[in-house]
Amino acid sequence: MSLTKAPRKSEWVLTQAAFDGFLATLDRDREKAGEKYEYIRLKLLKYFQWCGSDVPDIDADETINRVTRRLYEGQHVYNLTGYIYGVAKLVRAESLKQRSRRRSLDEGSFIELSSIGVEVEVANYQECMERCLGCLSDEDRDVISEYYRYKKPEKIDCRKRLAARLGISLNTLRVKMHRQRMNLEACVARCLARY
Amino acid sequence: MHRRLLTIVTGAWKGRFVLATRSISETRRLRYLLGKSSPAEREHIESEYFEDEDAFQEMLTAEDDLIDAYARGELTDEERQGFEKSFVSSFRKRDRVQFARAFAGAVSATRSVETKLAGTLLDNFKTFQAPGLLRVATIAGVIVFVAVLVWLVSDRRRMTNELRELRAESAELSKRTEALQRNSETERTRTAEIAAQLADLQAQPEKPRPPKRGTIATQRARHLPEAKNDREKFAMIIAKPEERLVNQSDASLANAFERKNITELPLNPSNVPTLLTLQPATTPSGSVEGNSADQAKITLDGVPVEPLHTYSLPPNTSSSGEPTIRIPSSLSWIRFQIALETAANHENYRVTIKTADGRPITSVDWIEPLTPNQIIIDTPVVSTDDLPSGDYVLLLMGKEPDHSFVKVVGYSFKVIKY
Repeated sequence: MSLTKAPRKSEWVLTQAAFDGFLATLDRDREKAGEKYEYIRLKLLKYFQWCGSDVPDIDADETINRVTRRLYEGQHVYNLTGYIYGVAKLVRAESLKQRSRRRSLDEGSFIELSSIGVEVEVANYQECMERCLGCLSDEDRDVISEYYRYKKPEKIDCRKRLAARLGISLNTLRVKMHRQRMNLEACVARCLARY
Repeated sequence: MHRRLLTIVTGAWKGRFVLATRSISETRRLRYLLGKSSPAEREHIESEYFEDEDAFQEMLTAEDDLIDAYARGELTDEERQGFEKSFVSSFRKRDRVQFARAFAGAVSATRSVETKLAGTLLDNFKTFQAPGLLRVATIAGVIVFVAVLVWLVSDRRRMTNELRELRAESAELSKRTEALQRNSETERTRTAEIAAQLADLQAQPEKPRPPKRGTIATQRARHLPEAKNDREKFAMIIAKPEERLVNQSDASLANAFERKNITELPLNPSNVPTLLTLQPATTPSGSVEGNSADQAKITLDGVPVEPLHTYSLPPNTSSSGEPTIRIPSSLSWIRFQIALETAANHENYRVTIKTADGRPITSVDWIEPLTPNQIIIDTPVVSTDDLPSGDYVLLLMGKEPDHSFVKVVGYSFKVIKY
């Protein structure tokens, strides 16, 4: 029933000084360092999500903690991204080992958790979606609707045409649409939290 | 690079054939997301998206597309099963699936409007395809066209005449204005002469008046009330032209404006689209009265919409130590996701945050829409202003039937701001 994590190797506690050191490694400019940190954390978060972690954000933070500690202790890292990926793999391996042990002990409960269906009131969801779409400019709303409207196989060609019409590359369009979608999701989540 | 694969999937959908096309890289990403990649393939994809920003972005897009495809029922049975196993089991991902369903509905609703419009037009056109109806419609159309044309020609002629008359009136007004200006100049010159004469008289009060000036004074005073002496007469004479400088009949000379004022107005009446771009009550600095200066920023009921960060708090029994959450200073609101030891059984909850030494920070009540055996709870949003760097305790309280709150669980955590 519980989501208790595996015992971590270290009981080291992240300090503000150590975290500042980690940020300084990312960039001299603190604001840019903050942005880079968030991007790295997003990558780690997605990595653990796609690997099937039960607690991807905790695993991502544990990875950063370990990297931060190594840097704080004076370890020289030449390829930070590669190093972070390496540490993430270790954390994942530990997590998997712990999870398989827990599953064998607590199989029924885990399945129960998996089958939980939390359905938000459909009417609320639709209302929030409409409100959030209404917050977008007409042009942005048209573009995001066009981008996500089509099904396969016409979807790819339509997106290419849309990118050409907007005068941007397909990848730029992808980035733009993903961000818009994340904003919409955040907006809907915030709106639903009020019901 | 993006060689296309053509896959024909025999169908689970009512005996139909489902045609799906995917590039090799798309298929590779899809397999990875569904947890079906080989270890070597997984390693390759992961190191690729860790090192390459574009590759990571493509993964994010592929994830969005996969969720959309699931929400729309576009996946094959095998893919759907894989998706449900790896995605829907996660609480957070279920939220994303729900979003994708609602979003697909909203997007297809837009399309259905367009389709409906197109359908209506098509239906109307089909109605006219009947031979008899088509002929009648053509004749009616021609008649209407001719009538409109005649009306347009006559209206244009009428407007041309009106324009000509207006121009003539304008020229007449210009002439009258010039004449008035000339009169005004003459009167002003005359006034100056009289003022000079008066000044001479004042300078030599005892000297006898020159006969010429007296003549002038007498002539000018002829239409005036009788004055007692010459000085009074001059004063009255001087007053007269000054009164005439003010136009009391109409305002044609008052409030005159120059042509450049008109040309400098940001309005070109013949350019309607440009006019429509103008926004009323805009200040010179670009902000709009009553609105946010940055109108590109989306707000919901006045609160800026930004990605909502959720921080998970493991139970205190976790041996991973006190969790540390790092909050960017740019973030205004966060919420916590709480993993409970036992299933939640209260309908109403209160979350209270205190500092490690017990100083209360904030307290929020909310109703949690419970499902049976729910062990993960999202708290309402909390302002990051209340959480400077430091150590905190979060207490989750459940509301009892007698309206008292009892502690359900407590969490310690550390905040680091950056």
